[in-house]
Amino acid sequence: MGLRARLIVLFKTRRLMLRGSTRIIPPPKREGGRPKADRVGGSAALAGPVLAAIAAAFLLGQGAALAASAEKGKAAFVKNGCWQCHGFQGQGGVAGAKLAPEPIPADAFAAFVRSSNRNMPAYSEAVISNDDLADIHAYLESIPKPPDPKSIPLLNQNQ
Amino acid sequence: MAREETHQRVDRRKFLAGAAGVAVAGAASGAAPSDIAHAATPEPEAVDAALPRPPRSTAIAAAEAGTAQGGTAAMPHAKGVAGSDFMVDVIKTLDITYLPANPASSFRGLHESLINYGRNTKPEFLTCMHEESAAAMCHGYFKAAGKPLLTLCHGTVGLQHATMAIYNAWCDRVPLIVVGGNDLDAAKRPPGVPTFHSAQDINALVRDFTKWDDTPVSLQHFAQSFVRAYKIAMTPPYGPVAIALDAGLQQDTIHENGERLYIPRYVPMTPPQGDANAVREAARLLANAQNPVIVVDRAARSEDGIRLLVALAEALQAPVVDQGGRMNFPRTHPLSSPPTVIGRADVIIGLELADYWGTVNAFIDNGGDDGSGTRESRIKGDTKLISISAVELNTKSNYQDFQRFQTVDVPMAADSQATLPALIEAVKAAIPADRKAAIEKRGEALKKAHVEQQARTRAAAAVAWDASPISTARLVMETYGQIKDLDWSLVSSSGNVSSWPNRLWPMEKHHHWLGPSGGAGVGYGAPASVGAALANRDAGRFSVSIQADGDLMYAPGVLWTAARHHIPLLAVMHNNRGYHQEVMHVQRLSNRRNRVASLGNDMGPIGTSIQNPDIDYAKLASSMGWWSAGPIKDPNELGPTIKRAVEVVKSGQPALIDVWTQPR
Repeated sequence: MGLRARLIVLFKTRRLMLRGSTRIIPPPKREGGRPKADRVGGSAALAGPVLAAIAAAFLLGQGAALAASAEKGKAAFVKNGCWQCHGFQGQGGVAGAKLAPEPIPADAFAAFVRSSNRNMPAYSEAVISNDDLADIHAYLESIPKPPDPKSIPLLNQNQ
Repeated sequence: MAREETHQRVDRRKFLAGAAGVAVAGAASGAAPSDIAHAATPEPEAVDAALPRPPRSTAIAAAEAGTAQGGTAAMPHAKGVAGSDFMVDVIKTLDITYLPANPASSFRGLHESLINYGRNTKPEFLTCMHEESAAAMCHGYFKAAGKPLLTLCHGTVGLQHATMAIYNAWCDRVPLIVVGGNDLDAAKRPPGVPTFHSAQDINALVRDFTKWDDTPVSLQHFAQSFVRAYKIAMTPPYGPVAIALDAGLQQDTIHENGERLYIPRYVPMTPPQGDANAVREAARLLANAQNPVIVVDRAARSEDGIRLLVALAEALQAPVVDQGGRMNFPRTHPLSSPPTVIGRADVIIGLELADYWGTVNAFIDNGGDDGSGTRESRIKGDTKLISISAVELNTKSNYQDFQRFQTVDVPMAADSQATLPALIEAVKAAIPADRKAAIEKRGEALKKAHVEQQARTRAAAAVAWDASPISTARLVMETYGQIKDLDWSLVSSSGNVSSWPNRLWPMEKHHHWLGPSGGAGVGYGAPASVGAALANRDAGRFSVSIQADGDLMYAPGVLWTAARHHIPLLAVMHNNRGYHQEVMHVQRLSNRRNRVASLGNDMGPIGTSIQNPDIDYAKLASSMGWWSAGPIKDPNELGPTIKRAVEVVKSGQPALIDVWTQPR
């Protein structure tokens, strides 16, 4: 089994272990201007060997991941500029995808951050540490679900 | 043309009555070119050019103050009919309601005539604190009123201040008439400052982004130039025009010399329509397509344009993607669709698209292709493309607002709105009988998709609903909640609130959304909002803007203009405390170069934040006569505060609420 195939199995397993999420990260939309067409991208575009190396590196650091702190992650989310496109609660918007609540699994998250080839730039370990990455994911996981839009009168004024 | 020192004896009272009366009658009746002024025989008075000069500094100050004198003996009062009075007569025939401007010596002759001879009506002079604000007010006004305004600029310096707003108007295809004062005659112009402010050809500053310009050298030339400028500006594609106005020509008196001044009558130009064969071919492609898609940007110039687009979409049961340059298509219509439908299209018709290439291609700013970013097609290889765009008739070379080149199968250099009636009829005639059932079925599917899309949008808006700083979705919907029962007009909105108004507000009327700046020059929002609010005030509408922080600080003096001239406007701020568009650019380059972006003491990379100290926008606004509140950081305080502000605005005052928001 090649590296990429092994990684796919790894990801599928992690999904089942976490929440069974099958979503992948949509690419951030272009900054400014008008919203562009949504498209599938993210991890599907990653080169196999690169993806494998990233995931392996991240999983080797499970000690850090296991000790991940949502509180530290919130600070790291700001310090590392994640809020800039994704909002302080990872809600997303015209400049970046929604990250929370219900973030994608940690390994897929790390893989995308490390080697994005979309509008979001890749963040190397020199720019953002594995510890910070794990903490950020913990922060995203800690963000509660939003209220049901049907329960918000202001979102139902024209129904 | 030069500033002349002669004075003519003319029965001023007689001229005023005669000229104004004929001018108004000519405009109202649509009569043939009217004789307006025929001055009495001039009797030039001698001017002693050898009079002693005052010290240079005194001369400069006096020249700027308009009190320059040639010596100790008092100069006689000007006699005769001022040339600028005739200019006012010309201007009045075109029913120009307002004239936002910053005062300046190079147009003092016209200024004086406007407020004294013209009694400061049609146009009414509005005091502005920056020429860019004045030009942007004209821009916003037109989009709400459908009528252009006139602004005056001071020679070189005032026109340089105005250039960014003129460029925005150019890119946004908006007419405005710019008149720049200039002391052209070097032998006659006052020394010192007025000379710094003069140039051979001030229009050169804006020639690359105006449709037309001229430098009249006589009063009759001015009359022709002004009416011609108005006509060119108001012929689609609309655009700004410029007239350089010599100070001497304004201050000179009307010469007899057998000259019979008249004002040409303005007759609106018929917009260009698409070639009949091209229209038929476009209709054939659309009628036989499996998945036709209509993409619109600045297609609807008026309410009628919306009606026509609805008719085209319903005839085809085709999805409409509104890129939002104008209010083109009702957001509540079941055929209103997201950009994703473009990927399924086999035929696309683009109507007045600012960027056709960007419509059918994606640009990924990822450093690919040797750093320039990669391109991905959004469409299938065999998708047929149709374009109707009047801008094809008015392309210039220097500024690159024409965007990347896109090959189109059926390109029409024509005005979309003017072409739509013929296209709709051609489409109806071209639909094969055996396609009608499939077309109806397509419409049903799109209706279902529209409902699902709306649900997804509301779900996205609910995320971070209770966040502080306040989410942009919450900001936008709290605002809408307080104005929904009024005849509202969103006069300006930063696209950086994730376009929530366009996604969630039930925009249906042409004035519900006026579109963005055109050239994306920051600083448009505040003054354009005030200009549009002026038009809406006269139309009895309620104006609201989503005001970005960085945009406001380019020229906040326009707040004073709004208060001074009683222009009601609700400005709800999207204060994310940064030039957020630039934040990610620096972050992106830092990452690409494998470096940590330096933040200094701010949240964003150094140079991109507006904090430390935070600006108190409520104090800023109240200092200039606005009702204000904020900064609001608790989302639960927002609705009640906006409610109070709405009552203030309904009473005729402007109101601003500073709101600390999420970045986008």
